[in-house]
Amino acid sequence: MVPVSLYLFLSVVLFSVGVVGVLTRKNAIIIFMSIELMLNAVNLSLITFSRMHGNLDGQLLVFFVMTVAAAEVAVGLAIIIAIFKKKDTVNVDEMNLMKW
Amino acid sequence: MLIDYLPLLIVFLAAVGFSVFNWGLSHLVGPSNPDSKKLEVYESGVTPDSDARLKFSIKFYIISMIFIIFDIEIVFMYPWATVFKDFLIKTGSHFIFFEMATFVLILLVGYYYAWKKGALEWE
Amino acid sequence: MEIKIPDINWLMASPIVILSIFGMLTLIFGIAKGRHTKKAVFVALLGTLLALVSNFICLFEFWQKTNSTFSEMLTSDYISTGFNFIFLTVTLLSIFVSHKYVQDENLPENEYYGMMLLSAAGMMLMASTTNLVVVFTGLEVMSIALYILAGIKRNELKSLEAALKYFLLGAFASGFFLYGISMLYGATGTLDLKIMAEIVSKNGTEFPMILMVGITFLIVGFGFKVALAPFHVWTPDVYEGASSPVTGFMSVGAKAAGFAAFMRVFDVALISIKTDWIDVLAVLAILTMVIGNILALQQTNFKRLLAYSSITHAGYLLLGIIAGNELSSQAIMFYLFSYAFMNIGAFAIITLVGNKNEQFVNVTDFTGLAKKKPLLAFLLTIFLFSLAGIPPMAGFFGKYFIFSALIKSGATNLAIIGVLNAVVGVYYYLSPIVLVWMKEPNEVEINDTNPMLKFALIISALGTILIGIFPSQVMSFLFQI
Repeated sequence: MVPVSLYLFLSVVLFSVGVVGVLTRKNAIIIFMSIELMLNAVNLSLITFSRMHGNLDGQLLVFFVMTVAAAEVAVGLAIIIAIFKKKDTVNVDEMNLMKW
Repeated sequence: MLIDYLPLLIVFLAAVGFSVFNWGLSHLVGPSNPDSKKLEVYESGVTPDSDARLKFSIKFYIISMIFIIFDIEIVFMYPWATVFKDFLIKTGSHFIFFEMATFVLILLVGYYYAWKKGALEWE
Repeated sequence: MEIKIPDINWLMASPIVILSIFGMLTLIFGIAKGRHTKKAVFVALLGTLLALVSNFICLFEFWQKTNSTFSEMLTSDYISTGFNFIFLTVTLLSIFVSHKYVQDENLPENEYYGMMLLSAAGMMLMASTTNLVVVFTGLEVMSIALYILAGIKRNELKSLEAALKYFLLGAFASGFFLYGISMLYGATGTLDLKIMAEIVSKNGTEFPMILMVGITFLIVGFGFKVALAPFHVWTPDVYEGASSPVTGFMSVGAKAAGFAAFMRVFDVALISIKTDWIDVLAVLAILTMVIGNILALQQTNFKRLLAYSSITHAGYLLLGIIAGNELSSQAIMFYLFSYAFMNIGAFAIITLVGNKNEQFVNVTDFTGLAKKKPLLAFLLTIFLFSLAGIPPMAGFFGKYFIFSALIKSGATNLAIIGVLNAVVGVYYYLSPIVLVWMKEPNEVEINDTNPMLKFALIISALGTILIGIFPSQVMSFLFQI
């Protein structure tokens, strides 16, 4: 058996990579991919905990996370494509119509 | 323990080693006299006539979006299918069938919407 | 393996089920015939009214007890029925406000109202459960529908930009929220908040670090969803870019749903380790109130002004979470109930004055409104007074109940800071009122042939005033005390 802490460590690393990606990248699609990475890191930790506690609740939640992630992909890509058609860019730095 | 994964590591190293070895060997002993035909991208014998990074039609995205949405629903059907028989025998109730029927009905609403919006039409 | 048929109480689930079914019906209504159907709004209205009726039945049927159904996935208690009442009121008023706007802007009616109903169903799901799986699902149903609603004007770059910002930050926040859930699950081994509460109180302080990290992540996730201070940056942009009726809908609905779940997690599951999270929330609450108030001062766009005002309101509501007693949960619901009327009313007036393409949404466009449309100016004054918390209005009693719950729980210092902020906040609500009443009218033309919106305005104004006059009666009706 691989110790639980290693899985959790991997999950934390993946999540951090995702967070850094969201905060530093400029391309909306890459930001979006980083968010997906965060969600999958959470899935990994949920499955680890589920195994650790010996009940299925965590794995159940993973199914829902996967479905929700797919729905988010559909809506997110639709929004990004609509913006690209209008503006010819997906760079989030150029989304600056509104400022305080 | 991690040692359980040792076979996996061995297979991985063997695969990498094999390819690197063969590639390196041909690089070392093989004769090298390139011409324009040889440097061309190998596309299963067909002559390449455009850049590899070509633009796809936007329709592909819509189709793939619909595919993702309807494809992912299988994750709910698979666990359902594994307990289906057990449930029928042990409880003698058809509840589980109507449960999935409701789920599929909701999917059909989405499908009908996509269909009528013309998302499934190619032209 | 033992298999049980889950117990099902359809009456308890009926408001959500009815709203979801009608949401889907609205979405596909008339879609076979052609693009623009004008009748979808009536399907949506019918659905909302039916859900409202069934929620009334639930309110009396499950009077003062806690019931759960669908294998403990759905709960009916005074929190869920009260919040469902808020969501349905918001949806109903928003449909009335949207009707002419949707026609004028030539938006697809079936999609607009369909998404509105489905989003409301998600909000209701969030409020009527004690299971984190359902909380998460409800949150996402609500959010995804709201992303679409924010970008529904897909020919307008501003609307799309709002949708993109809302989407990226919302999905980012979902990631944090989910990781928080995962860590709570890791620490306690359950996703049910009631069982979690027992385990947490039994083990006392012997929890691993992971519980604390999980709580932090949950606060970040909730903070994004209800617009608390360091996580509020998306709010003004999204509120400005989205259409005015949609902004009204999501400012109240999403906030109420977020606080419903916030309340369930912190004031039910984690109440026994209150000392561990109370300081963080107190700092966030102060920061939220102060930043909201300061930044609201320099706004020229009315929608942005109300965005910062909504941030400040989130700060007051967070004070209610901090109090964490019986009185505070009722105070939060009372606050949100009155906030629904006054905020939707204010956005209805912005929709009306804004006219086509929302050309007139600056504060200066409202100059001299009293000379042109005295009644409209009067209504706007009522809503702004109520938002500011001036005594005879509903908003005052919302704040009053929150602060008294806070004092009862012993956090008098926080209550004083809250009151001070409320006093400072009055200033920026008064400056538009001064413009409306004291200045000469400008040339902005107001087209007020809009019966549905007027109806919504009257209901909102009546709600704002009546709740203010009979606060204790409303309380006892909502909670059956």
